[in-house]
Amino acid sequence: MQAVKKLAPGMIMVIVSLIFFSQALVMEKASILDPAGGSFFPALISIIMLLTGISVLLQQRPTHQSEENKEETFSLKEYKFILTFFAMIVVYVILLSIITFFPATFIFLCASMLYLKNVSWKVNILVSIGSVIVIYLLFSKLFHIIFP
Amino acid sequence: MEVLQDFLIPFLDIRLLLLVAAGTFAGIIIGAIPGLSVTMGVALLLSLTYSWEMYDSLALMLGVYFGGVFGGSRAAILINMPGAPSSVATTFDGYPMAQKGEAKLALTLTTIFSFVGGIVGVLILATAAPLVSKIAIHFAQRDYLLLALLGLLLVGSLSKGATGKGIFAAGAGIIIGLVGMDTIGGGSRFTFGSFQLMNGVNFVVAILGLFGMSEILYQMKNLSAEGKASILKKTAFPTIAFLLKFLPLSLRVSVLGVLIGALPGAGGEIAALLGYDHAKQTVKNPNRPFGEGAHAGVIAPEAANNAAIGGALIPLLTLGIPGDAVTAIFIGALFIHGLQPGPLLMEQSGDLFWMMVGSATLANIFLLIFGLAVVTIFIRIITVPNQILLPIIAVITVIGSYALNNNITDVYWMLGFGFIGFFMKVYKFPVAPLVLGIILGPLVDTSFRRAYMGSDGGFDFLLGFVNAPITLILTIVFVFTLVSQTSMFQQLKAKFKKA
Repeated sequence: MQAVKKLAPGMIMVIVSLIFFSQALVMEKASILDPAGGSFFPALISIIMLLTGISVLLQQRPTHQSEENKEETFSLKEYKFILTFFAMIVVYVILLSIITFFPATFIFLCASMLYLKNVSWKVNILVSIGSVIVIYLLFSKLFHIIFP
Repeated sequence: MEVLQDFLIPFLDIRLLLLVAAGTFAGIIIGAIPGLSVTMGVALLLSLTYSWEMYDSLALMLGVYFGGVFGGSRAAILINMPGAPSSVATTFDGYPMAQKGEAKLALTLTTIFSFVGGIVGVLILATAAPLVSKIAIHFAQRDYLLLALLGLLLVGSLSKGATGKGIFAAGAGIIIGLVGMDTIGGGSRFTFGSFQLMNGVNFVVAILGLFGMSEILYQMKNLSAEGKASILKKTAFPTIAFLLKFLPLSLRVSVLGVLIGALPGAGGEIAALLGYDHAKQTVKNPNRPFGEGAHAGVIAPEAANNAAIGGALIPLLTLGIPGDAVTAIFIGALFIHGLQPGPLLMEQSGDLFWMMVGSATLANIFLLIFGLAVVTIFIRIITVPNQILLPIIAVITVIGSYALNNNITDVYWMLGFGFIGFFMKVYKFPVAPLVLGIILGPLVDTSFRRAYMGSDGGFDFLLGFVNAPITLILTIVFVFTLVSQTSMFQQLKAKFKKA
C-alpha cells in the first residue's frame, strides 16, 4: 500500500502525459510532424512531460530515497476537515445561482466560521454582515458587476 | 520651456492633481483585490469619463494604471494570492518573507522599488521613446520565442529541488495555455469536444485557483497556529544603505522592464518574471536563497512590472501600437477625444504627451506616499485569525473569478484549479511553474510557429538565431542561462572558486 502511495505521483504524471500526447495526435487540421502545425509543439511538450514522469517514477521506487519523497503528511482526519470545507465552498457557489449573493454569502460565512471554530457568535455575525456589505459595495456598486 | 510647462500641468492644476491621487489610490485597491484587474478598472473609467475633458480622463486612468499594477503585490505578499498577473513573481519570495515575519519589510521594499521602476519607466518614456520604439519594432518572432524561453528557464529555480515535477508542472501549464482554438491553424486543441473550452482557459482564473483557493485549503492545516501577530516582530523601515544596495539591481531590471513593456503582447507579467530571473542570475549572495524570502526576489519583479508601464506607453504614444490590454484602452480614449495615436501624435499634440508624462510621474509619487502610508493598514490582514480570514478570502476568490467575465463557469474552473493546486502542494509539485507555463506557453507556441513559417525549412530556421543582432544577443543570453543551470556548470564554478 505504501509503495503504491509513493508511486502514485509518478504514475499520474505518466497517465496525464499520455492523455495529452493522445490528444495532440488526434488534433484536427494539424500534423504532428510539421513544426509549423498546431500539434507539433504540444506533442513535444507531452513527450518531455512523459520523460519527467518516468524519471519521477524511477526516483520514487520503494528502495530509492530522495528529497522529493518527503511529502507533507496529512492525516485522514485533516483531509476530511479540509475537503469538507472545500465542499462547503462548492455548495456556496451552487447556492449563489439559486438564492443570490446576499443570503448565500451570509450563510456561507456564518457556517464556515462555525465550522472552523474559535469564533464567537457575535464576531461571526458581525464579520459576516460587514463582509457581505463591503464586497457587495466594492464589486457591485463600484465595478458594476452583476451578481448571479 | 514649453515642454516643462506641459509636464507641470498635472502638478499645478489642483483638479488634475487630485484626479491622479484618486486614481492611484483606487488603483491600489483594485490591484490588491484578486479578481479585479487593472484592465477592468481602466475600461470602466473609459466608459465613465468619455464626456470629461481629455486631460482629466487620462490623468485618472494613468493613476489607476500605475496604482493597479503596484497594488497586486499587496495580496501576493500577505496571502500568497497575486492581485494581478504581473504580481505572480512577487509571490515567490514575498510570501515566504511574510511567513518569516518580514511582511512589513516586503511591503515597504516593493513600494519603494515600484516607485523606482515607475520613475525609470517614465524617464525612458520622456527621453528615449523613439529609440525604444525603434528597437521594439525590430523584435522578430524568434526574439519573442527566446524571451519566452528565457522566462521558462525559471522553472529550474521555482522547482525547489523537485526539478522533474517542476518541468512536468510547466509542461502541464503550457498545455493548459494552449487549450482552445488554435489562432494560427484554426483547429481546436485539447477541448475534448467541449464548445465551452474553445475560448481557452482564462489564466487569471487559473492563478486565482492555484495560488488563492489552494492556499486557503492548505492553510486549513494551521488553524490552531498561535497568535499570528508574533510573526510581525521583525519590522523596521529599511536603512538608506540597505536600499542603496539594491539600487543597481532595481535600475537594471527597470530598463529590462521598459524594453519588455514596449513589446506588443508582452506585458508586466513577463517583465516581472524576467526581472526575477535576472535577479536570480546576478545577485551573488542573497540574504536567503531565492524562493525562500530573498529581498532581491521581491524588489526585482516589482521594479520591472512598474517600469513596464512606461514601456507600454512608448509604442502607444510613438507608433499607435498598444503594448498591453490597458494601453489598448488608452488608444480608445485618445480616439474618443478626437486624437489619432501614432507617429504624428507627438508632433501635433506635444502638450498631451508631456501632460501624460507629468501625470505618470505624479502617479508614481502618490504610489510611494499611499504605499508607505497604508503599509500598517494592509499588515493588519495578516493578524486576522485564519478562522475569519480564510472564509472571507474564499468569498473574494469566488466573486473575483466570477467578476472576470460575469460567468459562473469561471468559478468552477477556479475551484478545479484550487483542488489540483492543493494536492500539488501536498505532493510537493511546485505550483509556480504551472502558472509560468500557462502565461508563457501560448507565446512560445505562436512565436515558434510563426518564426518557422517565416523561414525556409529547418536549417534556415536555426540560422535565423544568429543572423540578426537582437536575436544573436538573446540567443547568447539564452544559451548562457541554460548552461549556467546545469549541474556540470555548477561543479565547474565551484572548482574554479576553490582554485
